Formats: sequence, C-alpha cells, structure tokens
Amino acid sequence: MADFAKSAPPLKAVAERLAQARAIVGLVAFIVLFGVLIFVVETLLLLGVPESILLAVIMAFALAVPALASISTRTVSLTEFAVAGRSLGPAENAMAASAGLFGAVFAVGLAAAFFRSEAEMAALALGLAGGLLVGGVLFAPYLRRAASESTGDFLAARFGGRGVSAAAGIVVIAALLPMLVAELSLSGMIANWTLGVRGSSFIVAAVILMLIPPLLGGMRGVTVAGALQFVLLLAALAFASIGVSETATGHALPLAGYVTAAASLDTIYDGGARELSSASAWSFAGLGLCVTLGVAVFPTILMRAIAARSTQSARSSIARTLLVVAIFALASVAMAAVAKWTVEQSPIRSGSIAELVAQPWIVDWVARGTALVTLCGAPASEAGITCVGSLKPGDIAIAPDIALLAAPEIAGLPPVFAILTAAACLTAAIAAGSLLLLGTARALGHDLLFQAMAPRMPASRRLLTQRLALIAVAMLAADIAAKPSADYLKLALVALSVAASGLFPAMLVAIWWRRANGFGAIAGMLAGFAIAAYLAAAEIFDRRLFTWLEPAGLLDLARNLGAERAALIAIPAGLIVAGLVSLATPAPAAGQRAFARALLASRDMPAEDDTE
Amino acid sequence: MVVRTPPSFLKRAVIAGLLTLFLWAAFSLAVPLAAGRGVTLFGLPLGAALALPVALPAFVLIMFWYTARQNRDDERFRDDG
Repeated sequence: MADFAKSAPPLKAVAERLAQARAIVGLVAFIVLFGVLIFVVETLLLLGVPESILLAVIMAFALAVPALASISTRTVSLTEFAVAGRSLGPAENAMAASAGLFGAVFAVGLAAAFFRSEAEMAALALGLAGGLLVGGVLFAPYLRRAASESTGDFLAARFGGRGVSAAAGIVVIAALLPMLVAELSLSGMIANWTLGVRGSSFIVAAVILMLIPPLLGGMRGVTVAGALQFVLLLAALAFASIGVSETATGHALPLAGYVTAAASLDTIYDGGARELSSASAWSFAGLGLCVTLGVAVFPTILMRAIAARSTQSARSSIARTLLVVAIFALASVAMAAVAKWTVEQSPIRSGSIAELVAQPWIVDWVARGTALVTLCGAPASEAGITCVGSLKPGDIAIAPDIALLAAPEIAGLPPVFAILTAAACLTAAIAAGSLLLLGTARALGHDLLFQAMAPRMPASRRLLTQRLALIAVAMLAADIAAKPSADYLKLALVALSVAASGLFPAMLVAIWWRRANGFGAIAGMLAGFAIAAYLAAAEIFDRRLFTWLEPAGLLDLARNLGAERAALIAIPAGLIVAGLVSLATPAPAAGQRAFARALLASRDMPAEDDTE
Repeated sequence: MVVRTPPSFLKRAVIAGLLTLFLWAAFSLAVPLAAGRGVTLFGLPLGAALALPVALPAFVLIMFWYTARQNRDDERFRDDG
C-alpha cells in the first residue's frame, strides 16, 4: 500500500490530466458540431432558405457557444481568476492569445491596409509578428519567471513601493481601453454591414458576450472561450482564403494567390504608380516599429505569458502564437490582394457601366451602404454619372474596411464563405474584447486599487472588486464605442503606441539593468506615457492642444509624427529619464538587486499565491 | 534571496537575444523602406515580396529557434542556479 502511494502520481497532476482530457474532448466536440452546422447551412442554402436566417444561425453559434462554454470555468479562487492557476500549456495559451491579439481589428485592418498601400500592410503585419518576437525574447518569459500576477505586480516586485504599481496600472488602462473601444466599435460596424442591425445596438450585445467569460472564470474562462473562438477564426479564415485564392487565381495556397494577385496588380499599375516618397517610406517604417514595440509589451500578451505553466511554457506559447498570427495575417492579406485584383480588373472585363454595376457583389454591398462602393469617385448607386470615356482600372473602388468581408463575394464564392468570414470577424472581436476587458479590470482592481491603495484587502474582497471593475470597464467601453472619437484602426494603433511609450522603458530597465530603481522606473514610465497621451489627446480630442508646442518649434514634428508614432520619441525620452533618475537616486536595495539577478537565472521563482 | 547566475547561461541568453533582435530589425526596417522602390522580387514589388513570403516565415523560424535554444539552456543550467 505504501509502495503504491509512493508510485502514484500526485493528485494535482491527475486532476490536471483529467482537465486536459476534458478540454480536448470538448474542443473536438465543438469542431465536429461546427462542421455539421456548416454542412447543414450549406444544404439549407441550396434548398432556398434565406441567407439572412442562416447568417443569424451561424452568428448565434459562433458568438454564444464560447460564452456558454466559459460558464463551466466559474471560480471563487483569486489565483484561478487572475492567472488560471498558472497551469496553461503552450497550445491552449497560444490558441487563446492569438485570437485575443489578432482580434477583428487586425483581421479587418490588415486587409484594409493592403487596399490603401502595401507599405501600410507590411508595417502592420511585421509589427504584429515582430512585436511577438521582441516580447518573447525580451519581456514575457521574465514576468512568468518572477511568478507575478500582472505587469504592475511584476514592476512592484522588482522595484518595491506602491507608486510603480499605480503608474503601471494607469498606463495599462490607458493602453487597453482604446483597443477595447476599437474592437467594440468595429464589431458594431461589421454587424451593421452583415446583419443589418444598428451598430450601437450590437455593441451592447457584444460587450455582454465579451463580459461573460472573464466575469465568471477570469483568465480560465477567457482561455476556454478563446480556444473555441480560435477554432472558429482559423477555420473560417482558412476556408475563405483558400476558396478565394483558388477561385480567382487557380492556386489553392493563399500565399501563391497573394503572389499572383500582387504581381498582377503591379502590372496593372505599371510598376511605378505606387512608388512611395522617402518620407512616406520612413513614416511606414516608424509605424511598423511602433506597432512592434507596442505589441512586445502589450499587457494582454504579458498576461498570457504570466498564466503559463513555466517560463519555458511561456516562451513556447509565444512562439506558437507568432506562428498562428502569421497564418492569420497571411490569410487576411491574401484575401485582400485577390479581392483588390478582381475589383481593379472588373471595369476592363465589363462591357458597360450597366453590366459593371449589375454584378451581384456590387448590388449587394451598395444595398448595405451607398458609400461602400464607388464608381468614378461617386457612389456606385449613381451608375457612373461621373465617369468620362471608357472604363479603366481604378474606376470602381470599395471602402477598404469591407475588403475582407466582401472578398468571398467579390471572388464569386458561394454565400456560406461570406457568412463564415463575417462570423469569424465578430468572433475575433469578442475574443480580443474578453481579454482586453480582463486586462483593464485587473489593472484597475489589482494594480491600482489593491496594490497601490489598499494592500491589506482580503482575497475575497479583491475578487469582488475585480469583478465589479470588469462590469464598470465594460459599461464605460460600450458607452465610448457607441460614439468613438476616432477610426477603429487609429484607436488600436494609439493603444499600441501608449503601451510602448509607457511600459517599454520601465520593462526594459526592470529586466535588463540591475542598477535601475523605482524612482527611475516611475519617472521613465510617466515621461513616456505623458508624451504619448498628450499627442493622442491633441490628435483625437482637441487639436488646439497642439498649439502648446508652437513656441518650442515642435508643432510640425508632432503633427507629422501623429499619435500612433508617438513611441518613436516617447521611448527614447522614457529611457533617458529612467536612466538619469536611477543614477541620481540611491541604488536599489539588496533584495531588489537579488530579484533582478534571479530574473536572469534559469530557475522559476516560487509563486506566493493567495490561499482562499 | 541570493541567486547565483551561471555566467555561461547569461552570456548565451544575451547573444541569442541580440542576434534575434538584429534579424528582426533588419527585416522590420528593410520591408517598409523597400516598398515602392520599383525593385521586384518573385515578380512582386520588393516591399510586398519581403513582407509576407519572406519576413513572416523568417520571424516565426527565428522565434522557434530562440525558444528551443533558451528552453534547452534553462534545463541545462537549472541545477547550477
């Protein structure tokens, strides 16, 4: 008996294996169910059931099932709520992280960026992928090594004191809230175009769906829902991109379709029509750099690493996240490239304006919004009254934001592909929104209220506080998203810029410079954040704020830089301030230096989780 | 809390990290700056060609290489810590 007890695996390991087996069974069941649903929808379409009804059925499945699945994760454990018990494996973590990072903003935004210029698309795609690379090398694994609960928690453990946690909490909220508003605002736009409902009404539904997983299960709930949302997003983007590429170019591989379409577009434009000025090229290089640095320290990515089983697991999960995000980006851009090529060719292929505007996809999208498709610069519904002479490439154009959603119809695919793409985009928005909500509420409830203001708060009260913070943040974001002050992509880029400006200097010195102290970290964080927040406020809310810079001769620089590139100035400024202030103030205490050394050792620090 | 860090572990971590960052910087800056210069690769404008077919897979490979190397070193030096 004693021998059996010795050789038996620990109870925790058995429980983990059971939970893993249950998760795999659930995931497989969900995939099978989704496949059956697609088959049924396709059959019903052939039988003449209206597309709008089937769209609603798919949407209901895609949006409701992940939220319902998260009910099984409801918890009263603070560690489960905050970091999913630090038990997430690389696969589940990467699935939820990729859906949560990519979201609808980048799915739709990358395609839209390609429609505007290849350089903008390249800046976003490489920024996303590069950010994960830099974050995976420089930052994320070290937060897990320190067994911290949040970004603020990590900085407080490294530097000591409440100030650094409060400053980190403020920066995290300021970075995550605009991204959450961007996802919500875009989900309203997509629902308006595809379901025909009012954007503001759908935003309320979207915020409820985003709220359910984190409210009930915290990080565990977001992970379970995120894994299911990932399956939907991957399946939809894979099917749609393969279908679009195969139909329009004859290549089943989306990458081959992209190469064919992009090369053909180059021929249409005669090579030089899209040449960038040197200033524009540097501008896009700067944008790509800002996106990279923002993604590298974006709090939701760091949160995901913190919830991993170990530092090694955190690294592996980021590598897999990068792989999946690269596939998502490729699918999205390939669909946009093929759609753009088809749109550009359509005036040449059509014999007349009447034939051109009678194409099913044009009729369909004009009915959804008169400004979404234009002919010779005027709405296509006006049937080309502004066109002069024969039709040529570029005469017909679509709003870049509908590029991904309209791609299956433009390529001439059956309606089920368009339905899948729309469902995938909304699912991605909900996945990203849930993670962003959790991150914002944790920064408010944990970093600001608990760490900085009431460190003696009991664990049960902390859990309640964070759940109330979730509801408050959700209501605030829904209210702002109903009347957003800027375009969704602008808001997302500003969010990344604010994250980079505020967090990058502090995180860099925290991990890689032992002499850095709390004063330097706070000063660097606030300096970087102040620059980014000022430029964002001036550009989005009140342009008169720019005039403050006029006496210093910095007005043109600030305007040209824009809020989305603020990190180019804010990060160097933050690093200089952090360095100078650290050197001008006393060296960190022995315990803080030992903590800094332990970060770069090969052993994970023990977690000091609450036992509720 | 006193922790001894094996110098070889730290050195390897820093070198692998710097190499990774250099490769990232090379691609990140080359792609937008190459866009629209009239130079083509695979029949595509250089920026478009570098962005998706070249840089994205390169980033993924670099990350997997770095992860495998660091995780292996983590295991190797764990008992020295």
